[in-house]
Amino acid sequence: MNFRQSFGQVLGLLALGCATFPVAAAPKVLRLTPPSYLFSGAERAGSDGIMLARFLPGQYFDLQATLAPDAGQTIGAVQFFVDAKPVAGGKAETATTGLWKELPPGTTVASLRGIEAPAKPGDYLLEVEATQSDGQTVRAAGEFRVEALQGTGSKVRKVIFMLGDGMGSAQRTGARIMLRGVDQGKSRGKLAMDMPNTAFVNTSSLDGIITDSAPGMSSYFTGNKHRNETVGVFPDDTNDAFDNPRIEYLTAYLHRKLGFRLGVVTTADVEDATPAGTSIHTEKRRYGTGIVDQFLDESSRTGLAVLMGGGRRWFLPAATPGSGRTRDRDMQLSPAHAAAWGVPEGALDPERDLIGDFTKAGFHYVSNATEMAALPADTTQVLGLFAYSNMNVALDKIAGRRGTSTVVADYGLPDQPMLDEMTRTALSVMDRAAPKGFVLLVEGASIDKQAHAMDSERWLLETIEFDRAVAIVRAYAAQHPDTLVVVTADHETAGVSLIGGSRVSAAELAKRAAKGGGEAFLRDGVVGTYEQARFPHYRIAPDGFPETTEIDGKLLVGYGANADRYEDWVTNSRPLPESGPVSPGAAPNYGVPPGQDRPDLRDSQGGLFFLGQVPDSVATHTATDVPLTADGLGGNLFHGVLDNTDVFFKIASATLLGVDPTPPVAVAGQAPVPVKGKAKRTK
Amino acid sequence: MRCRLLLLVLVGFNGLASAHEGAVKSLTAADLPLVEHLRAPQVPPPLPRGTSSLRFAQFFHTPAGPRGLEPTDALLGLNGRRVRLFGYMVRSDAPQPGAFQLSSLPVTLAEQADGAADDLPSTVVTVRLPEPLAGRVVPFVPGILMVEGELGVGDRDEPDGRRSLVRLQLDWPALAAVSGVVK
Repeated sequence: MNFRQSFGQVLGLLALGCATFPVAAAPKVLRLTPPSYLFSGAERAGSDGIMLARFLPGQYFDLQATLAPDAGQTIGAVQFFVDAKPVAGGKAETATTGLWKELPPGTTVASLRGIEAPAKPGDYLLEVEATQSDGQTVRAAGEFRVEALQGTGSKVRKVIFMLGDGMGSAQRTGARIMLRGVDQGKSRGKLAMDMPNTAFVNTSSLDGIITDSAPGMSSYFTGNKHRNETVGVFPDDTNDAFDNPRIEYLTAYLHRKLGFRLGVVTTADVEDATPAGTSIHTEKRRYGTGIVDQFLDESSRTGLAVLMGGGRRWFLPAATPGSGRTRDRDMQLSPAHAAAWGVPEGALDPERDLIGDFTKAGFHYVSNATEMAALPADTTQVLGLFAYSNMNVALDKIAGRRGTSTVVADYGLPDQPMLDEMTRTALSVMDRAAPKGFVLLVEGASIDKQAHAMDSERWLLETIEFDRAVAIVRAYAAQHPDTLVVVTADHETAGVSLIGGSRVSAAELAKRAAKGGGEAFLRDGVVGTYEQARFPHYRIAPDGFPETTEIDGKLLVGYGANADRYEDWVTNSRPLPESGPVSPGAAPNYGVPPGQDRPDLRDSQGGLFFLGQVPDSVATHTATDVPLTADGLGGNLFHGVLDNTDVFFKIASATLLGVDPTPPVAVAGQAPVPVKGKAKRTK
Repeated sequence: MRCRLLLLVLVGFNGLASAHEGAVKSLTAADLPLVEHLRAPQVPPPLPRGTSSLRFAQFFHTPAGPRGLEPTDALLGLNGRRVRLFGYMVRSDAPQPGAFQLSSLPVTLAEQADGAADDLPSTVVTVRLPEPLAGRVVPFVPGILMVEGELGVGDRDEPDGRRSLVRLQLDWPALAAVSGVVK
């Protein structure tokens, strides 16, 4: 949420308030949370049955109202009602300071926290009544729904939610072409994520058709829409990044109801939106200090057992070189807020040694792949921090292992694990630590980040790395029949399109890229469409990745949500824009004519320029539906076109009530492909 | 001649310096002297007296250990001294006035898309403009830059919410002639 959005919304709410209530006749309700179409001026959920805010029976959430008094007045008593009955839970907590400065004087934010959704499914009328100091009152209405869950049979006890960040259909198809190949029109194999149950998912957020990763993930795990940049909370009108109205996560709900535990594995910084979207409550996805504190401080509500990825900087005391901890981005709740949710208030403590606190809480700490592989066999809690921010990407990690690149060494982190290795470790720990059940998130984070950078080979290999993690999970699910495996994305990134295949050899392509000539030389005669695309064939090395991505007739990729860019189709040896020496300490490339030492303008030497269709500095997310595939117990619940919040209720049904384990109709060729060896049809 | 070539480069680049809600500052003609000052020359001049050469490779012991970074004696020994450093300007969609980041690797920070999770290497320096230019947003400058000024080593909060470990304060006299600002 940025200032423009915030201010625009305030103006909109003010306008709405003026339209709804007599001018200067009474206080106004500027916002009523949970959000609803009813409060926004629509009628109660009608024939379409679409309700904005939905909850599980007994799910916790906060009620909140923003109330503006008439000039010279103040807001006094505030009371919330559900279906005309006063909501129990004591007096609403009110705040008149720390609010957006654009709000009218005397505006009050009233909160009633930690409310438990009714046990009986149905639509509920939510009202708030406020009295201002001259005795005038206002009453406004919204609504929410308690979903009626359906299900019977065996209950899912292991939920493994695999999120390929930004992974749309094209990313999946591209990885399949590169990994398995296509011959005479038929794919020569499936990805592990090509599972028999398939759905499309709408990903839009509360404030736009194009979501960022924060709502994209947390909608799956809270059942509710979020504003961009926010996780686990509804919007509010205060400046505090951590005081927004909360929504209880599925992970916390299942821990409370069933004793499930949480595991989080990502290749990103662990403070990033997707890992945060499992259990963190904040309106600022970038407030890393408070986010990582919350992982530990509120672990009593999630049973956190595994946290692995990058982001070590947030765990180091501020005085330690490499620390990213700052007081400004730390978290401290009000006593009432903390008490209502049964969590610590936290403290603004950038000097905190969070690795130390994790280890005191019983976590084994590992900092590289070697240490991870050497974890004691009885480990039940693990913290793995393999980079200071995002981990390096698969292409560079594999090249480092093959000895063909120094990128990971340049970052000072040559021993980073692959995602499938992290996943195997996490499953081992979760299986041991969570006999009652668990929710494990596995994220392939840089499918998105490298698509933002329009670095085709890097996101392709990220997708392959992610698929190898899916294969690990499916092998685990095959041995544990109470496991549900869901593979999806939070959104699509970059409008990726597989546009064809190269018509020239790798050597010729490199020659053209170096020589220049632009469209006439590097597009015309190179980009083969239709049958001229032929069938790109990559040789896969024993490590599971292409021996090289520079093959004759390589796969070519275009971007529909591209920023300005040059393209030469050739794999970039570095993960970032380049053209000069980029190793730390390398001498500048003297002797290169001015205009050519422009490392931001990657691939520019070929002279093939594409004007961006978006004004941003990187390619952007799109509103395109993303695929969801599922397998295991409850996998057959996922089909059709779903809203991302629907996924939450399906997982909840599978864990709380159970599912008919009848397998879906077998489709030839749908069997998963093991990591090694030939494909086998599952029984 | 060099200025003319540079102008062509920058005009060509101007179309690429796209903005998200105007956050990224596009290059203007008024910026050209400052930009040219920052860009590494084809042949660097001799080190000024009292100025030491510093390379990013000298910053930390590698590989990194299990916890924090370990600054080398070479880096710590230059704290408070004048240094010359070559590197790449970090491209940000939310540039801060009066400062920019210089990195051993060319990096784009897309906070709008990625939040705080980034690919910035540890070898990064916050380069501060002199006080007369404290309100100025430096446009993104492609290519290798050469900066000279006083080095500062030690953790510090930055106005953009990040922490810096290594900073470099650019000299005012050297910039006065190209900044267009009369002190």
